[in-house]
Amino acid sequence: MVSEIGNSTWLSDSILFTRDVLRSNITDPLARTGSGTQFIYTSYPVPQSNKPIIYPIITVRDSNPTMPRRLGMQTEKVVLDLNFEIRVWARNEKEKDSLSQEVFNFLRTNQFGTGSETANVGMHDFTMTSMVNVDEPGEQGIKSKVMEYKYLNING
Amino acid sequence: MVSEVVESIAGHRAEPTSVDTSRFKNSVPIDSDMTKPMVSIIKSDIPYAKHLEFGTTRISPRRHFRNSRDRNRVRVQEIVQKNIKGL
Repeated sequence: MVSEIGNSTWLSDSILFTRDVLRSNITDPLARTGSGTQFIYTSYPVPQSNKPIIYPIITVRDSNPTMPRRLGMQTEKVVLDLNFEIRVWARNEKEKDSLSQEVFNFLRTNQFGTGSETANVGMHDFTMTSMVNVDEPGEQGIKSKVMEYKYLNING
Repeated sequence: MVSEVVESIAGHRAEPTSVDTSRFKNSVPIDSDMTKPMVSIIKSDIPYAKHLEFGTTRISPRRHFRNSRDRNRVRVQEIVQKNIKGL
């Protein structure tokens, strides 16, 4: 697992850290095991005929990170807003809300400590900026909750 | 800002076009919805707008609204600051 958000690798480090910390702490309702059977990914599922997608899954992606300000006129250090989209793709409403709640609860309570908490790796000021339901029609339609989170990183 | 979203839907920005019958493109009103002073809402009431914006298991997300928001965030802030200074 990523132990620190690197100055020159912050984009991948932050996404991989978030994915890995969620993998270690969010309970897979299906308790999947074995290689190639992950529960949390860093890209959207792509349907393939020889490999069906088994829901529920969670996807973690960056969502337009920004640089709101520099940290002074004579410094190259900057502030970065690391925006993430964490999307729960579930089989029903209850599963969708339950997993989303678990994700939020974990991220909120994983900010400070002595281990792999976000403040220790360089991700600060946890904020949940939005939660939007995107449900596909029909009983078999996948129910999604698109959550956007933001952390602040000092880069440089 | 509204025109930025419309341009994005039309395929004139980084996102792929989402125009077929123009129903979605025409559903974003010319004037944003000013429900309160200093609050402007840009939206579409088309039922499938959300599916285009966020994607589904069958289609990739188009992000017309979110990308337009993020591309123009600084410009909107400057416009608001300029107008506040003029008060």
